[in-house]
Amino acid sequence: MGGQLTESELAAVLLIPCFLFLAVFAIYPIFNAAWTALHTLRLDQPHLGFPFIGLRNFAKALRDADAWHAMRVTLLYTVVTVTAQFVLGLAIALIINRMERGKNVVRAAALLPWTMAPVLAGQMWRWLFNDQAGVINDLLNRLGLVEGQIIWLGVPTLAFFAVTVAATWGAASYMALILLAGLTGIPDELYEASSLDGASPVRAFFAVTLPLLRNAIMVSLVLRTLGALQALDLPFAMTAGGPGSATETFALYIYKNTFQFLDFGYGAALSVILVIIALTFAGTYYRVLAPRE
Amino acid sequence: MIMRIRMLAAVAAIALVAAGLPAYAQAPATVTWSTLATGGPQVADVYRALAAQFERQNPGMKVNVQIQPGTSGEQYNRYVTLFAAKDSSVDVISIDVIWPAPMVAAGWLAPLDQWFTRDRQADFLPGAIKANTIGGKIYGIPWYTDAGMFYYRKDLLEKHNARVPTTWDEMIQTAQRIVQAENNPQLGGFLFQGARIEALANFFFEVLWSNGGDILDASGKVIVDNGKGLEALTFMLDLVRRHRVTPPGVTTLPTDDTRAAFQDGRFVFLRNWTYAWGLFQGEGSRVAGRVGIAPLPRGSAGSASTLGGWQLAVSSYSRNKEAAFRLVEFMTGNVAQKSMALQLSNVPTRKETYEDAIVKRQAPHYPDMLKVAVNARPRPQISDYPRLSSIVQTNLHAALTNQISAEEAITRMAREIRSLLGQ
Repeated sequence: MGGQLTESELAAVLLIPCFLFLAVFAIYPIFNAAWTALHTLRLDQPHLGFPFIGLRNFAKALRDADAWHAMRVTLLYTVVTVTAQFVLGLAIALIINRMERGKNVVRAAALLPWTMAPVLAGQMWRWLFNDQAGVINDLLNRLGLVEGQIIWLGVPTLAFFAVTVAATWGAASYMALILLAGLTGIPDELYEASSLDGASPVRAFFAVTLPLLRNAIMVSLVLRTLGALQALDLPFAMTAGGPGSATETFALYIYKNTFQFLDFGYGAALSVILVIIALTFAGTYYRVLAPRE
Repeated sequence: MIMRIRMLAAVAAIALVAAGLPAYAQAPATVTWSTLATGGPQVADVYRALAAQFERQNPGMKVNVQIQPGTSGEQYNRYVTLFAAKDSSVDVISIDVIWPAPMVAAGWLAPLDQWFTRDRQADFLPGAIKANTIGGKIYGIPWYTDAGMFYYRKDLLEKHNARVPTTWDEMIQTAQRIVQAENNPQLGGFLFQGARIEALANFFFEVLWSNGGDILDASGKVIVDNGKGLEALTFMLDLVRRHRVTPPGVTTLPTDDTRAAFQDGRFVFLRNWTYAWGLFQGEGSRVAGRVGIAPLPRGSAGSASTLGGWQLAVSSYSRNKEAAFRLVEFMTGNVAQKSMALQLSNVPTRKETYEDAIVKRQAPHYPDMLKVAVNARPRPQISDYPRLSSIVQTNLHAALTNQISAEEAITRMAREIRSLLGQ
């Protein structure tokens, strides 16, 4: 008694509030969802109660063609948007990194799309892609590239394309910012050395920049992949999953089952499946990209 | 020591007296009313003014009005969250006509039969009462009603010497004739709500009913694939593909976008709800004074319209259901309905409001709307209606956007509804 805390004890004490916060708002809900997933919980039929049904909700998901469809949409959406965001984000980061003046202004301006709430951005893009009054059709017509109106949001492939464009627009700058932080950390001497060795700029990019960006790339890919797997707000605002169910993501499907059909047990099971898939992605990135000893 | 005992005794005496008083006698009974206000502050102001009027007429009662923005679907999700937690903070809610079945099945609404007796129900439009009756009990009082309506451009019909179409075939021919004669690339024939929303399913029901079909028969059996469903969907596809009176982009248009397009003068005919009427006549409308309203055109089995509208209901978790009912009673009474009819162009649900001299004079279009509302049909009343509607919407939309054929859409629709109902 009365003795001073050691440094690690102090650290533990200081971490308690953070741990409690996570426990209440992250860990408990995840376990609660997993527990709910093993039960029937249908708010529209309360007389069914809360019986334990084992893995039956999961078995139902495996047989559910709509769930599979939503998963395919989500995976395709994730691959397309994260790739596009990465390529575009890296380009933006390289350009900003090279800038001599106005770097801060450009950096702040580039982040604007990310600061816009996805639901608002979705509404905005819905209007841009509107077939009757949309700017995009108007522009294409004026440029003479197209005659008449393309029904962007009414054709499955076009609607999917439109949503991925909006998603890329929204998050590329966020990706750029993380990558830019990584770029800033690369010492100039390495580039000087590589150019003394006669390496071309392209060679330097692959031999110096990319390997040293590994950490920043991993962080940005993990964050954006998790974001894309959970995509709900943007497709909800732009297409609500349509036309038909062409842009219905897994998160939209969970939302629909839980809050429109009131099947909380099934919704929880679908959520658990999404968590497992997200963890698999994160683990794979880590294994491939984490710095090696 | 003695001082201390005296103090204690005094405190105890005060406590006893205080406990003996009925605390609630002083505090007014507060009723919390949660409602969507489509139309924004203007609508909310009318609701608040009516609540204040109720307070003046019922001394000792207070109304806490909670106005929520957004769409009907969003409001439904809010109530799901509220009731799933068995929250008792809300006493009265306004509910869309399709909510009674799922909400009653979930046990969220209190039956009103003891106050809202059969003879009092007779003062209201029968269709609206039916939509609130489940298992022989009544769970809501119709507040204002709504129905799918047929809007037409009076000026264009007159100019081209055409009469208001009364059948779907006539509608198509008239639309084609006027669009061709006008030769204006900006003018289209007919618009319905083609986005994947509730109203798309509703238009399908209307076409289906008008040719004698239905989703379920009287016993609840799925009959949408008996040929009539295919006929109805083919008709919808033909409007776009064969007759070309409806633009292909209709598949992206939700309710209010179709209202805006018609209001902009870009269509001859429109299917929409009654709220559009007020906006067509309002300030800034390009079609003010040039629009007529009629029942939807007939098919082989007559004209049919989907019943819409809103009801007031009492939460089963309310701690003061009788006080809550008194507010509902007032808000659905003639005074409130008249005020809402005149200020918000809501279609009344009470027969006497239609007979009111002021309503008759100031809102002469109500008899037209009433004609349609009286004949409006409720959507399939099953507790899983939200899921049934989603099945219908998704398959219709997949066909309208060329992803599947009409035959496949109807086959899938029937199969999925059967599996939903366990048939």
